[in-house]
Parts: sequence; C-alpha cells; structure tokens
Amino acid sequence: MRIFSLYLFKISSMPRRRRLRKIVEPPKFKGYKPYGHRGQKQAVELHYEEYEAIKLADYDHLNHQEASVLMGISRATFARIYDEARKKIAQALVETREIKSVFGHAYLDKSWFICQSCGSKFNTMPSADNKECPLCKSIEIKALTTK
Amino acid sequence: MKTLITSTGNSIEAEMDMRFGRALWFCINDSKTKTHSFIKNPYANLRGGVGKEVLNFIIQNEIQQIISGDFGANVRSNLENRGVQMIIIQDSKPIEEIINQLNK
Repeated sequence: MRIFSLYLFKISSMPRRRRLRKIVEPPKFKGYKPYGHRGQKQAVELHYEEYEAIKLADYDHLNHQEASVLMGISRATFARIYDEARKKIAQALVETREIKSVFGHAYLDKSWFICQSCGSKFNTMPSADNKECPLCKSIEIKALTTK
Repeated sequence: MKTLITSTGNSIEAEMDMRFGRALWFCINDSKTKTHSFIKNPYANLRGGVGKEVLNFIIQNEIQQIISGDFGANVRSNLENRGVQMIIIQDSKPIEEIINQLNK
C-alpha cells in the first residue's frame, strides 16, 4: 500500500511532457534591434513556435482552430503560445528591448531527431542508418514529430 | 566519416563556436583515421553571402557531418538537399570532448 501511494506521488509530481510544436519554416531573421534609444537591456527571446503562431494568426489570417491543427497542438495550447508571443513583442516594443529568435520547443517539418542523452538535435542522412545519436552513440533518440 | 566542427580557436582545448558561417576556425575530424586538422575560416569577416562560400568549402572537402550551435535557414535547406548531416549542440563544449565522442 505504501509503495503504491509512493508511486502515485511520483506520477502526480512529474511535469507533463511538453509536446513539440510543428513549424513550417523557421523565421528568416535572428533578431530585431531597436534604434535611437539609450542603454542596453536584456533581449526578449521569441521562440520559433511563437513566431509561427503570430505568422499563422496575424499574417496568414487563420483562426486559432485552423492554426492549431497546422502546428499539431490543441486550440487552447495555440492560444496560450499566441498570447505569450504577443506579450513578448509588446514588451520588446515598450521597453525597447531586442527580439531574438530562439529554437524553443519546435521542430521543423522534416526528419529531425533529438538525443535524450546529450540533448543534441540532428537530422537524418539518407546514407547512414539512423538508430543512434551521431555524437554520443546513445540509442535514446526521439523523433521530433507528433504523429 | 569527415566531420566539421566550428571552433573559436585552433587547438582542441578551444570551445566550439556557436556560429556556423562566421565561426573563426573549422576543425575537420576524420573518424576513420582518427585525425583532425584546424583550418582558419577565410570567410569569417565577409560582408554577405558567407553561408554560400562555406557551403562550397564543405562540398570541396567532402564533409558529411557538421557540428555547430545553429544553422541559418538557407544553409539548412541546402545541406539537407546535399545529404550533409547537421548536429546542433545548444551548450558550447571544448572541441576535445566532441572529438573524443566522435572517435569512440
């Protein structure tokens, strides 16, 4: 009984796995810088998936439901990412901060993998067998896909 | 297999360079012969079109694998089409550590 309750405790205290968000194309920029102001502040980090959310909703004029299907996440999650993206951009504008685009929790719509042992990301090669991490030779690799 | 690692210096104690095209040095490791050599990146200070020049360099040297911190969008799709494997490491490491892993 005690072991069972410990097990339950372990499950409930573990954070949920963060699903990866699919993006069609990474942003074509590495960042944006304000000019005509004084002092340097820490940059705002805009994740790829946040950029993608802004693009789908505000540039391609999709509604949240359509956009969430494209990114392989639920509508509610999309709304949260989108909200976060808008807050970050607003913060950057008001506080004259740089915007940097960082990888975040996205994956490109291609054959990319992540090694769970050393944390490196890599794409597959048609020539080699792709069952292990090319760097640490660990077999604990996971495809960056949702389907 | 020939692997290119972007480096900040010309010795194995140097940290890897998180940039790809504008990395200061390239370390080329051959896992077959277990040898490595350092080449200064001639395009590090070029104004534009660095990615293209480095791509040519990679094709000429028959490199099959690249380890860096990030790859630009153009370079990414180009390397993908040519079947060159990209490995992204998010935290910088000394070159020695990477070479040891590759030659294992």
